[in-house]
Amino acid sequence: MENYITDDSLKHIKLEMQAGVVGIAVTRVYIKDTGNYKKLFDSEPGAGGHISETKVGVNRLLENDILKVNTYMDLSNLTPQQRQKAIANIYIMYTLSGGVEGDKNFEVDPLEIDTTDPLRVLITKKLKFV
Amino acid sequence: MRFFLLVFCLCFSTITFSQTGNNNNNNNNVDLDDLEVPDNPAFILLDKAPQTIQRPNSSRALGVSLLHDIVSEGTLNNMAIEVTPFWMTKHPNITALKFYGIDKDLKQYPFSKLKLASVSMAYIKDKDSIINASFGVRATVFELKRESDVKDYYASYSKIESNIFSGLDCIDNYGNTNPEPEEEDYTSRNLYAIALQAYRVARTAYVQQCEKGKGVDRDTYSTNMQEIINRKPAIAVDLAIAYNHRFIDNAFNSNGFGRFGVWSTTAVSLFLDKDQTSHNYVNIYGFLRYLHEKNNIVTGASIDPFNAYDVGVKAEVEFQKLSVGYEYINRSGDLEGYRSAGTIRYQVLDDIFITGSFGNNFQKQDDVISLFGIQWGFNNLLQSIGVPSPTN
Repeated sequence: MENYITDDSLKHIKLEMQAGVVGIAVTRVYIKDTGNYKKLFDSEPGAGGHISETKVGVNRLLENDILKVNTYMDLSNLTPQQRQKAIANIYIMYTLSGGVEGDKNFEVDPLEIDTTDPLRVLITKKLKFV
Repeated sequence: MRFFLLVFCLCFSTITFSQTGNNNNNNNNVDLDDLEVPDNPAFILLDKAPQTIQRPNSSRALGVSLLHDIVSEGTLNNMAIEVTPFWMTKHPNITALKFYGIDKDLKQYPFSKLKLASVSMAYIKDKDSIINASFGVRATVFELKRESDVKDYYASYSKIESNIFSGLDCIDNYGNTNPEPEEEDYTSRNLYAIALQAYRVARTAYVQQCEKGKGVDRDTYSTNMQEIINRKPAIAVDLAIAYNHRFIDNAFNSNGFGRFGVWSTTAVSLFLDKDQTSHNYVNIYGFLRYLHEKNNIVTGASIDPFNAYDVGVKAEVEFQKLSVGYEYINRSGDLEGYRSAGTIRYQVLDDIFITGSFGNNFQKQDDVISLFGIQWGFNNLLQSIGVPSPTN
């Protein structure tokens, strides 16, 4: 799992996510400290799954936590011929800021794309704060 | 020569497809979905397409066109590929709304279809050992949708967004009782991938059932959205440009500029029924074209270069899978003539078309066009059957 280095400060860590997908997409962000993932927030309606820069917590409290970002995309608005190409062209850039590493970008790994549902695609990114 | 051109075409398709990334390697194959009827600019430039006046279809990343000829030796005479670069690169700022050409406030972006411009190349062996290599580009430069279509699209979009959030709730429910495999718990990435896939299959089955329980009917909303995106725009203007290079007597050195053309098609589509619930249309097209040609060898004798200006109209009635049309194009300038052709196209299955045309095709001699083809294959010659008819 990719990670992001925090420090001992009370400065906020922020997440920004740029989603470049032609399907109808929404995004939900979670945090896990102990136990299950807890929902933090969703993308705005009509935003195409894009998350503008949003606070996810403070440095000191996030150490060892895991941030999970689920982007769920429906392919109904594409022709059957376009759907596979749309999956191949998924672009998502996650950017964390506010920690020791400053702005750090994370891209989608092919293994993070779930295509088992013929009508939907789920992209799950997990990032560990260390 | 043919070998050289085929290799070039295949290399081009390989290069462009290599840009699609490795998210899904299966996407790099040419399959039935990639086949198109031969109506790309590279064919149209040489008057080899069944219909001259038509609208582009940029739904596929790679289209492969095979025209009717399978000559006596069993080799293909005419073929073309058409690629849509949009589908071969990533687009950081694209969204479903932008892809459709609107924003959240339902404002239309009439030039948004420019991004789906396509590039085509064709290999056409003509009579008298003339080989034509053609290159073309086309795009919808302007598209105006009906206000009702835009509203319907956004309503359907919003409904689907809401349904996806319901799906995310189901995913959360499943995850709360069935934790997702973590890579750190596996000794190799392969083992992790296998476990993850099994988990995903089970989760997907759960989510589909869970959504049903929440009243989400995927078939209904998906069918509704498909109906909306398949509606023709009220007005569309397409632009195409194509260039043809000729090789004479199968010799590479005896090559030269053949033909250049630029043309525009304006299409107005009207629903046949007042309720606009069917996909039956009357389509009216206006057509303008400029042609410049050199080394026009018809019967072994060279003809002086010419400039020609084409003005045409086409009326077409479209009933679901069947479309029947008539096009008339008047040619003026250094050449005079006309193309008067009836066209027919029937979609047998999703990617199997019967397409053809019959009529007069500009020239004073050999001027009867008669093209009829059934198209459903690429790599195996037996998959494509041509039914050429006598030309005079």
